[in-house]
Amino acid sequence: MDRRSFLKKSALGAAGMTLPTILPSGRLFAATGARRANHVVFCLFAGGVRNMESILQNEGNLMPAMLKGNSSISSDIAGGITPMPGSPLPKALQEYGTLFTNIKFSDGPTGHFNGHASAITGQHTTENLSLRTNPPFPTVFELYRKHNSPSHAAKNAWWLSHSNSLYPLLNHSSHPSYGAQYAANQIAPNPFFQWDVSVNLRHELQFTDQKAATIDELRSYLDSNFRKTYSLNNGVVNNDQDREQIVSWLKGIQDRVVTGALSNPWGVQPYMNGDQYNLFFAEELMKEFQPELLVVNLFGVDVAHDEYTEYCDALHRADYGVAHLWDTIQNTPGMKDDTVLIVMPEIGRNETPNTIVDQYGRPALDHTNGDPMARDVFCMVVGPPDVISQDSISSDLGATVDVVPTIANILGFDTDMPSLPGNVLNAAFS
Amino acid sequence: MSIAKALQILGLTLLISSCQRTTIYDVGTQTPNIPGQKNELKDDLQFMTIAYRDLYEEEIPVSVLETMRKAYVSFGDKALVVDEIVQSLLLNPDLELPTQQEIADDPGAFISQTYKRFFLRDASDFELAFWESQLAEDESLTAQDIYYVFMTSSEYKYY
Repeated sequence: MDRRSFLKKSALGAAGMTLPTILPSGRLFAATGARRANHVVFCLFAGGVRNMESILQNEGNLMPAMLKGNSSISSDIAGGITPMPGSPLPKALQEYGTLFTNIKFSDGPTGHFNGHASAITGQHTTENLSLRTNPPFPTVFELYRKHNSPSHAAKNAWWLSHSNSLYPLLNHSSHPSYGAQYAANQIAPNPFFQWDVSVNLRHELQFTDQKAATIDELRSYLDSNFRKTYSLNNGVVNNDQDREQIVSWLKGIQDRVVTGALSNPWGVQPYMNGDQYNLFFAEELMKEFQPELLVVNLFGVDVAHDEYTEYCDALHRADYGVAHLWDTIQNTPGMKDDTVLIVMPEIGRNETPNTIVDQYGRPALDHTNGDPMARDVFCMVVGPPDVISQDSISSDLGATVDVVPTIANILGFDTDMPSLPGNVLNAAFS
Repeated sequence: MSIAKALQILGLTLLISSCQRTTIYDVGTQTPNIPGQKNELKDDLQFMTIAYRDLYEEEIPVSVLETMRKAYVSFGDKALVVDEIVQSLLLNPDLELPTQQEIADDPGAFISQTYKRFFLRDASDFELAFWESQLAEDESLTAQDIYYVFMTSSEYKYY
């Protein structure tokens, strides 16, 4: 029997001995509050997206997989928009839920990290937000892991960041009552699954049963002889069994990278961009772990600082990717019909362009604090009809900090956690 | 011999020896390199750089360091990713490891060198006795196994 089998059998044996209460829903325990659904995927449609090019469709419908409307793309930039494969969905994504058209990034600098931190913590941020350390407020991952009852292992909460710079810090806070012990698993799959890492990061040194026990005992002996002066911060902590599953998943993906099996898996011509790959890896992760809480971000649209038409192209690519994500959710046992997907940019972009003009004659867009349009975003909440109001539009004033309380409400841990400045987006619920 | 039994015997030896008169040696200004005096945590770059140098006895190539760093900063479970990095270093076919025969011929020398190599200190008599008993007890233990244990220990995370 290898170590994994042993652990599995041990766990099964232990489960058999404790005889947990099995609820009619199939869940072992009731959560603290009533749940609306058992999974939430929050896609930070990030990088700075204006409502003008997204929901207002001023350049035509650049997001036909997500938004209703057949208006053609502005002729002067149409040549810069990469055709995507047909949407995998039979209707626009917004028809599976509620589109909020009046959401504000109401407070704090209109930077990407502030926008992300605000969306993930449910707290307003200031210019004092450090870019070197974890945010001071608990993240939605920590709130979920601490206040959900029963508490769940890190394997149930994932943060897939587009980049491995800065954004990994958002998997937990520095708050003394929360922190790494309640962190999400974090991965930046685009760099982690690059060729060089996949080829060289090896997993073959696997110890089985007796050898594994011996290795652990020998390490315990060394550790018992060493007086630690600092507590190690190893980031998120997974238990042995979960870690084995994670390692196995990583190895499986890396093997596919090495064999070339993951070269353009969606068949997007001429290539998949980083956002689409990030969503692809999110899908692979969902298939393996069916996490209760997954946050994944995009970033390609930030090319708008220099290239307006590429920004529109990135929007078009992200649109296809998010539809693909929803389609995968609906084809993933355990998540199908039991998942709410929330899609929201972290900030908008300026109304006033900068001076950089692209080859299509269009000026580029920054996102600065003084421009009100940089604070306007949309939010789309889609899910099962018995949970989420279908094909609905809400123009109620909301805020990006509303997403965390909304997630808490859906997963039923809102009654136990500290109050937050935002409000539940109740108009989304049927 | 199990680890627990070895510790029991070593404990008994300690008890007996503690009743004997202690000889005090003047070591002058020499600072003994004992575990408790490793007070600083290696940061991630230091850990990877030192691990490579300890195993290969040469400076880490920039490309190797960049690959390791990329893996490290891209994954949240640092203990897991460090474990993977250590495995990768140990599994490299270019790494020359002591053979089973070399270990069996002189286990004390192997253990002493391993302590110096990874912990930068001498093994105590107790530690030597412990490891020699382990090697005698379990002949399947390889240099790769022992190195893995040392490189994933708490002491190795400090300098």
